[in-house]
Amino acid sequence: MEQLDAVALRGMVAAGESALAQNVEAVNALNVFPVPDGDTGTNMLLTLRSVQEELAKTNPPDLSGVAASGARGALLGARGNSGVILSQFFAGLGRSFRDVSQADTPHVAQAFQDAADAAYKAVSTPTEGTILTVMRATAEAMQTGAANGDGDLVALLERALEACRVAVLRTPDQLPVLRQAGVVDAGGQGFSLILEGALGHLRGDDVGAISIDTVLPVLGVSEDFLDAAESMEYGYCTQVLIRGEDLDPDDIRVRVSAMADSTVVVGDDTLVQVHTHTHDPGPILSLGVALGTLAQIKIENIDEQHVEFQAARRRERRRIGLAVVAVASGDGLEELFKSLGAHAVVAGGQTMNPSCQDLLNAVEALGAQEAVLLPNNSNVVLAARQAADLSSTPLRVVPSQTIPQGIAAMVAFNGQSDLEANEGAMSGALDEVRSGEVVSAVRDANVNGQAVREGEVMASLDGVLVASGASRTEALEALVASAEPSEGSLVTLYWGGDAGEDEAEEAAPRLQERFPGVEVEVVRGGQPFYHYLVSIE
Amino acid sequence: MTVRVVTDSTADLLPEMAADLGIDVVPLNVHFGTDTYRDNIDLSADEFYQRLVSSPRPPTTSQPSVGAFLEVYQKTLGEADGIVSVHISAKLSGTWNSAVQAREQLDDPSRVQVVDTQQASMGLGWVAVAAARAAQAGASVDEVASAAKSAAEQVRVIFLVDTLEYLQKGGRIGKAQAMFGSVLAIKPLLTLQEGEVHPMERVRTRGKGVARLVQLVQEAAPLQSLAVLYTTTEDEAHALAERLRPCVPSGQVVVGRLGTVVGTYAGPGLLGVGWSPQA
Repeated sequence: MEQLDAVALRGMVAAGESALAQNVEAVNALNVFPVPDGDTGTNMLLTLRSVQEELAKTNPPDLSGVAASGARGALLGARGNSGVILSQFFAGLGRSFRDVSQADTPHVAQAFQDAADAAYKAVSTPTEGTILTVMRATAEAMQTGAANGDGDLVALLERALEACRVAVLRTPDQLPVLRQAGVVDAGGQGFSLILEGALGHLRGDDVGAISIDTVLPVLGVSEDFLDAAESMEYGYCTQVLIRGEDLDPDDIRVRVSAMADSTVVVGDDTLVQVHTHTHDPGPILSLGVALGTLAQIKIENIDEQHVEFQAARRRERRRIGLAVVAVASGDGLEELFKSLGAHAVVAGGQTMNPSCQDLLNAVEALGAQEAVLLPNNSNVVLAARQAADLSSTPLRVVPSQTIPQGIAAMVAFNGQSDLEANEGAMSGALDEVRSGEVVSAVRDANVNGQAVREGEVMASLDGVLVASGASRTEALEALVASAEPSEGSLVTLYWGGDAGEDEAEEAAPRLQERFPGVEVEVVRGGQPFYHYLVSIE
Repeated sequence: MTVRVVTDSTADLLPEMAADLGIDVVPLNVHFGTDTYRDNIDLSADEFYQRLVSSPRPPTTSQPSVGAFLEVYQKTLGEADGIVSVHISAKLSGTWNSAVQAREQLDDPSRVQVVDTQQASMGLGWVAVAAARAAQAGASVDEVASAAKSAAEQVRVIFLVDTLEYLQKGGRIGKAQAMFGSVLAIKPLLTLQEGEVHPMERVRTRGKGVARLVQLVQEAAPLQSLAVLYTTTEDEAHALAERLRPCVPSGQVVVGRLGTVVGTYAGPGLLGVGWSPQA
């Protein structure tokens, strides 16, 4: 399709609404900025519904009519910050498509640019890492696409959606409050869903199957954030629609911003929508009355909304059925355990054994119904068993003695099965793997009857010394050789200590060459002291 | 009383099986950019999987149009008294929805029953086979539909996927989401449960994954019917079928290749089994 027309635009809006509607709760759950009240998704959806209603009422025959009517519907129905910003986006589209019956891709790209610009203008203090940034990134991608000769609307929107998704994922890098909470921006996510629905419509896809897949891999909003947010006060969310003559939205924006936070003002000379957060709505209403008549007023106590939102999020968190807590040191290993589904990682290992209390605290803090504990070190197993005796959360210890064993157990974990099944599968996995380590001796010692001098590299397999005195990579090779890996075996190297990525990446092909048919995977462990932790399975 | 069975192309039925049992197969569509191909008709599997891995943008899929179903229903109702139309899980595709809408547009919708099997691939395939056998035995529309529903509760599919990337990209990852994003290379075993992709286990090597598939089939044996499914590794599929032959008293193991629509989400390197237990 090369030209956007009235029918296509209406279809896109409808599909965008449907895509958002299916994920509205998920978008609400992301909402932390500017206020964690959990209604961004709903607000955007109601704004889109108002667009749809206006379109159904006026049934405009051409593109310019659909865009104008859509803009009016959005303005009348805008709710919340994101809704108001979205309405301004529609206003920008409306102006850009004025007096045209269809638009080619450069025109559509320009219209999106105008729309994103209009959205920025609506906000008194635009913040990056929000829906605004996402809209702009989307518009810029379309400009690039049109400039590079994307003549097809689907191609143009595909490019735009890709940029849009990336922009959503980057929002936590731009806005610290999102990073703290561990979420992407809700408004940006909502916009991305709408765009995805719109694209799906043009492509004739199954819009039924769109779901959010760009949410950061965390369990919704973090507990720390909820605690910190609890003590804040936000006042009243105040929203008024002013009808009048010769209204000046820019002037109103300046005046309202002086009295309140998070101010969004949009509209034209006859109709202005004000959305703001203030401790006293009175002066804002007075300002509206002074300028014209108040067509709609909505005032909500944000603090109360926020308390409800927190309670809902806390209930959600409590739904962790079965949690896994693992002991490990090193940022790579921590990330690894979490990526396999561990809910918490307690720092510790050979040189720093966590106490029973440390383990207990980590388990109890999750508030899970049941938990599995992976000590991952023979010196931690006992403390783990004590923790299991004392824990008020039903807790089972899967007695992993090494990191490779712990990882094998973690791979066998399935959050969809129950505690018994997991304990069985995870314990069974412990014997499926052999554990090796390459480390430098910290003092002169006698290991398994062999003298080792301080600083000398040692390699051991399942606790038995197999090489000493060689270089790190020679020791590594001797270690793998002593395990006698067969064809189809998998050797995983977790590098840390003094070993770097380059060294590990160079060691891998040499191992593969020496042991044909053996697969070698290199993973950053980041653990202290141990140059390599090695699993052979 | 003659009843015919209609299914869709995600059933992965071998063409000769469908023809022998008189099952009509309505194709879904796969799209590379703006090019549309009917599942297993317009694009060969070899060509499809080549493009799947090399295409910078993943393909997308769409359900058959209401019109496509209407055409098949109207033609078939000219030759038979009724139709039982069995389809891929409505949580994975809008196909069931299209079929239901087509049914509503018929002069006499009561002659057609549409069943959401909550299955896909040969899980759906074996349901269609069970329904067609009931129809051949002279069952009524209601009886065939209830045979299909009971088969849908019995059949099982298990897939060993090489990567979750395609399920994730295509938004069909379902409850296996928790397995996505692992820092380690893992091989997940997945099944369909309540119409959604559901994680079973994950293993670190393909060898272990295949061994688990064999074990799971052996635990379910003896089986009435069994299919081994693959996307790109045909030799491996035949070898697995040989190993599993003792699990089926009839000695027949069907080896089938996933079609382009299911393949869009399964990705290359998938190996799977779909079975129906003995009554």
